[in-house]
Amino acid sequence: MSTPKDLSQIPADELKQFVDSFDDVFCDCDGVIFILMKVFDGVPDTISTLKSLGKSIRYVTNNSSMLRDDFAKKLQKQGIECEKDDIINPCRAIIDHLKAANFEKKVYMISLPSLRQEFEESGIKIANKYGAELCEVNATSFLQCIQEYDNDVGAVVVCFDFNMTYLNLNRALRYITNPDVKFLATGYDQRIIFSPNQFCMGPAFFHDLLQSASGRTPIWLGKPRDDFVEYIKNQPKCNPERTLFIGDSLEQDMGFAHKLGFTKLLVLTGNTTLEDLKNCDKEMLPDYYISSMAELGKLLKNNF
Amino acid sequence: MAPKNLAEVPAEEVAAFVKSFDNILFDCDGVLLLGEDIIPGVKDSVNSMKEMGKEIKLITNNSFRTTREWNEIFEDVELEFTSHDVIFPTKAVIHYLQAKKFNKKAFVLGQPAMVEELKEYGIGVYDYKDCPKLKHVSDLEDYIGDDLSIGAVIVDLDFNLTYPKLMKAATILKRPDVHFIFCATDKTAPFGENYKIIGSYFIGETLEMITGRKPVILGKPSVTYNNFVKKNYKKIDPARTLFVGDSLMTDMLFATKCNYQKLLVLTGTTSYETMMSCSKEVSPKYYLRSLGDLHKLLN
Repeated sequence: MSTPKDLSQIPADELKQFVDSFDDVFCDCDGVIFILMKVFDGVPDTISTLKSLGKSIRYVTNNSSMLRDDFAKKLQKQGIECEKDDIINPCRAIIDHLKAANFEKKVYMISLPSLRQEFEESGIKIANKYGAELCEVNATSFLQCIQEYDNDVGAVVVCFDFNMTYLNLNRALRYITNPDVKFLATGYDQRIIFSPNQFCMGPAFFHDLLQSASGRTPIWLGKPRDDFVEYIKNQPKCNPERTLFIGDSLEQDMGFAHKLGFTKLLVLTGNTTLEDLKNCDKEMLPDYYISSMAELGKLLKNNF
Repeated sequence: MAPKNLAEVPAEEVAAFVKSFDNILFDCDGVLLLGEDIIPGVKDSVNSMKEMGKEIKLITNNSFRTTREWNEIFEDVELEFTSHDVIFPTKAVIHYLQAKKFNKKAFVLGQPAMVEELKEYGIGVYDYKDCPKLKHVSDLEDYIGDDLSIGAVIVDLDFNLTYPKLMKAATILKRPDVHFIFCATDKTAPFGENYKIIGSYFIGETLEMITGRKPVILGKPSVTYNNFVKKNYKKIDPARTLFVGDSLMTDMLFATKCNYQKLLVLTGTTSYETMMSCSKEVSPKYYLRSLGDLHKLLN
């Protein structure tokens, strides 16, 4: 494997070769096209330039915190042309997974309300419509609470919920102790950034805990997990040899794209610096890097 | 060497074993008690040990009872112990904070009994009001802020733990002078019949991970907890002390780390098969089906 190249410094003929090498783009969102849903300057231009060059663009995010419809609308409002179906997130992957398995039972979910709504809109029944719950705090009432067992539950989906309670985690544990109940997980992040100075623990915490306490490994639909690699591979119009992945994280994006056999482009607007490339595993090294999506747009505009 | 059933070794070996210790430390849940009930035969076994002059203390990771409630349960099951004989994490926490001349408030992720006991001993406890169900991530900020009146975060099993409460603990712990105390560190805890719940291990570990802080652990199998145990004695010789417990990773590991002799009983969290395949570090020399059988071997 060769060292990553600065896309803005390569000769014109190599740049042309690069641009000709792909038809489809899968693009991460957070740290690439926006931060906290605020689109970076210049990104809409870059997207339309790519499209004018005949490239298709899909967005692959681990963020399932809002409906895909709302997600698309937020991007549209900020000048990015896209459709709901262009957004690929773990929520959609799980719904597709359950549908493919002709799943007809109920799902117990640790998730935000938006995710439950998206499930219900897809015709999947939810066991805990109202999400998080607390109980009386003494041991007897807690025991009574966790002894309730809904036999119609056939899957547990664990995502992120800032209203999560200890009771919910214990209910989830109880269901997945039954090997017939599917155990599905989304997201991967250890930390979630809420505001510039505040980060909170991400969904990885819930997964690790339930995995370790139950001894079961979930079907894990989120970057960079293998189950999600398979899911992306099976998307329509996915030809690894003609696909570019753009992302800001080494493990989640570059490592993920490596497993898919995509060409990899790293942008430096998120959580990776050039310094990080020095010590990183070969599998996570990008083929190219560029300072930002805006820079990519300028480069393409000037050369094509 | 595989653990031997004390009930099946020759009488001389039992006698030699019993002579080899002066002190006994009993775990409670799964050894003496199951829930609120005494395990059959335990009373006779405990009494016969007392008659032989063994000094007995109980050492548990269970902070679900106050001093008063410990006295009540001993009375209910007719065991001749008082709260003075039992060492539980809340006691160690109180001792630890008093030694540090702690005069702020403690933020407790634990049981109401722990809160009550801390207050009883003059430790201020932050009055946490369960936060309402939040609509937006941005609402979270109002519920996870620091409060400078808090000087310690205590982590045990908290049935009403929520994400915002946990994050508030993390915020508080960002101040390096805040004491970070972790009590029971079990991964899962037996609860009711054939049922396990998520132990506080994960809660403490998460706080460690997101704050980068290392907690002081005041529960088995931590040696720091044993330092507190030793304060209950003028002098204690570990080699002449027997630890009787039901769990491998909490009790037997603790006993190994503290150089106590080990006896495992199978009335709690460990099955015969698990015991037979456990690592050398936690493997006891002897085991008994139940502590209730011990007195029968002595006649």
